Amino acid sequence: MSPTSLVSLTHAAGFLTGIALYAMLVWMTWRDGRDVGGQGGRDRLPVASALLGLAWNLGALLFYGTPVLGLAPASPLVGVAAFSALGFLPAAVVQSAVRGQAVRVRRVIVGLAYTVSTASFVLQVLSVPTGATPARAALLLLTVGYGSILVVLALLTRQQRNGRGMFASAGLAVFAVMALHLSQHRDGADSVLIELVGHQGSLPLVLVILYHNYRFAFADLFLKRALSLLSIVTIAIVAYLPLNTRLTNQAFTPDGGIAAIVVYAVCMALAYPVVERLVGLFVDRVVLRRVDYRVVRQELSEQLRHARTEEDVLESVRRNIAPALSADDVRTVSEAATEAVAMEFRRDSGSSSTTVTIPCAESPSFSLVVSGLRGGRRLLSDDLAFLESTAVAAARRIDGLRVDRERFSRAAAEIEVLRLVSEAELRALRAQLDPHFLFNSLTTIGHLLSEAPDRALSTLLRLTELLRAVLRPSATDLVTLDEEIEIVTAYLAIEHARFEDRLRFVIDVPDALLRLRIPPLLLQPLVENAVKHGIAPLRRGGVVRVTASLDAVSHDGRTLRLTVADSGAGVAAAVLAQRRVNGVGLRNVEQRLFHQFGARGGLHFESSDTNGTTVQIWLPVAGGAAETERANAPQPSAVASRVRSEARNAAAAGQP
Amino acid sequence: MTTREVQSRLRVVVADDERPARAYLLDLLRGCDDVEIVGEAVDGPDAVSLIERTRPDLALLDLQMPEVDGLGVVRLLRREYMPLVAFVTAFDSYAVRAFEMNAIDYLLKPVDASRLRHTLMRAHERLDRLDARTGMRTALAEAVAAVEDGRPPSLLRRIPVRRKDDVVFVSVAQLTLVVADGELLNLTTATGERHTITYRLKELEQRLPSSEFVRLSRSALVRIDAIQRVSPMPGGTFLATLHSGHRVNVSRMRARAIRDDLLKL
Repeated sequence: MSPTSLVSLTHAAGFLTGIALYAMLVWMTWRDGRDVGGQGGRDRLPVASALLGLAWNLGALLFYGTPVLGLAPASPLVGVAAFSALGFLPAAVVQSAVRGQAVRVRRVIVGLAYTVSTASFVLQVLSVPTGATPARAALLLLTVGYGSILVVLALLTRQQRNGRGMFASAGLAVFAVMALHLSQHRDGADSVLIELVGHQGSLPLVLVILYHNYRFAFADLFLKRALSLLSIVTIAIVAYLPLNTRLTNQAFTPDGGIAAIVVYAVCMALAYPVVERLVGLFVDRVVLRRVDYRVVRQELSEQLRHARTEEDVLESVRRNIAPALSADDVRTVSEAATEAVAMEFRRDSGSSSTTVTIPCAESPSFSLVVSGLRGGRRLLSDDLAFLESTAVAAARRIDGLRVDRERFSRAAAEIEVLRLVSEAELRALRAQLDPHFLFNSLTTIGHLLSEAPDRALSTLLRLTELLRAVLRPSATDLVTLDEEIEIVTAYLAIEHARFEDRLRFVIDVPDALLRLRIPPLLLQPLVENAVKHGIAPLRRGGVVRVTASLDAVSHDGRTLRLTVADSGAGVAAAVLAQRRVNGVGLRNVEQRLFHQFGARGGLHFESSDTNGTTVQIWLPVAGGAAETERANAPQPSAVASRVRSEARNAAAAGQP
Repeated sequence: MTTREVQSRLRVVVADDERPARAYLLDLLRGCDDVEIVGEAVDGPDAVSLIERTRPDLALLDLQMPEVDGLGVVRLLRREYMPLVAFVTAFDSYAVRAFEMNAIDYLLKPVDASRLRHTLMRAHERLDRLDARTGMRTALAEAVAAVEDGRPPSLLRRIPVRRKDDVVFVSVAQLTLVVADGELLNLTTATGERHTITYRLKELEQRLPSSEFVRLSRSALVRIDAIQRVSPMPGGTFLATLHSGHRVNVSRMRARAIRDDLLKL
């Protein structure tokens, strides 16, 4: 292959690449430039630059590449058009580079640039009749003109941060060199490298612009394909070399040779997808430094696990997605607002947004709106899959949080209900303070006032004590067993004053148990029942006996047993059933035990005509270990129980 | 006028099982000079015999007494011995309403002396008028029935009945047959004893265990265990024969219920 044809081939390949890249840039700038800033004005400069670059490459391909392509030489007009495009390209670059400068500076520089370009264009047109296309003078003008503009521009834009100025400068430098080369151009006279730099100066520019501004699109659309192709070609050539040697050495039979070639072709075909994937991976990780979604997903799921509110969940989704997709704007909006936000994006930025639903089981549901993708990035299928899976994970977590919250609030509500129920029951019990009892007590006191004034006073005080206990404001506070026994004693004492010898009572509670804490008014209703239904209906009366004992420590703590027994009338099952419906006492105690202690509390009722009635309740109790020890130890002090009954009654209790 | 002066001292009995309450009331009565206390009773049966023996003008009956309360005393008293009655109660709003509606006097515990004096005065006034006394008997029966009606029925275990001058108790367990006869009920026990009480069959039925007794007709309540045989009669009714030999017609109205309940296995 002659150097000339090699140079031509290189030109052709370079220009073709240039065409592809500039076409891409045209598309990108076109897509991107729509409605910048929402002011309706399209930013035409980048598009114009890209179009000029495209025109130059197309024209140059026709102008220089026709011999290689085997076409007839192009008309000089094509050359004029190509070189004009090349002439105006730097002007456009300059114009975009001076944006942000003072208006006057801008006008001067841009005016200068366009003057240079226009002059060059005129010179080119003039050169057509002479057949000396491209016009050397025009190219020299470009070189000198942009060389000087370049110096000014470099001084002006050195503080610009976004690199636009730098690119413009670099671009202009390349153009200056290129124009100089073209002006000196003699076919095949220079080395391939010089030819390449001289003619393909527009390539680095477009590459840099694409890489900088449209990294993802560039990589996805061009780099991956180009690299894959390059790799597979290299592999193919490398693989073909030994095969070629053997073929030329006639190491194969003719059929074997064909088979070897077929196998080779099949291997190459099979290798291509692998190569493509590897290249894709390489571009993603090395060139684009795209994040590994698996890592992001792991991180996200970790964060989601710690999220405690829905806002937490959405926040961590936003925080993770934005960098992963290199998106400027990731929002999470409630389902209802999704449409409005998507519209807003379209209106504001011109760029489209991608909306993914976060599929919560129950409303309100949310949407993930991703927009403002940088680097000309498009969301590819794996990006979308990532978005979807993220949305689903977020939705599951939100669902979980909602379920938790619901469960929690339900549990809280249940506790509240139970508390209210207990309170209401206690209130009912208080309201049930038997008026009969009250007025009968007052009658008794009335009688005692004349007969035994000091006993009247003591009965009055007992009644006061009882009323105070029953009307105590705090409903659910525990009281000590001692306090409850005091109440019961007061009650029994009053009733004793009323029924006199008909009511005898014994209270037998070990001292050690007196400090145990129990719900208020558990014993009193039972004792009241015993008097009212056991003793009062009998002319001969009877004994009421209140005892307490502590079960041995079991796995779920200790159980206190309180027993109220009377030797009175007893009650038939039918009557009891009826009384439980009508009365409050027994049922109330039972319900309160159930609501407060569940299966660990309870009430047992036993009654017979001959033996009277026995009610036992049991409930778990808390208390110091020392108390337990003392209560359970079989020592004399525990056995010597506290018997609190008036001497007279104790004596009477001995009799049947 | 002389009779009037003789009668001007009101003869009163007090019935209350609680000695302090009784003593309190008696104390108050002793403070009134136009009152003669003719006796005190410690329970219902005691009150019945006391009243029938002493024939007082006014009985102050406690509503709350073991086994036979104030209302029970009124039930058991023979009509001709019925004195003027004022009930005494600690707190019984329903009874109080019934008494007021029937113009029956009542006292609330602890009894207020002036309120007691008012009651005594009213008794004086009524004593003079025969129509007032008969009217009061009817009113009393009405009031007693009304109070019983209004109370949640409590099951009876023993039914107090009159046997000559005594009050005896018939155990419900012994009761086999109750037949209504006007305002009275005839009770028959398993041992063949027969008693008559002042009660309404409907009320008594409510105070007997419904699992043990069955109403066979408007006028008959029978212990289920006491039924020996149920024979169909022409016209879709039945004739129930008891172990004791008593025969009770099953009314057409009850026949269906009997067929559905009792005669089913």
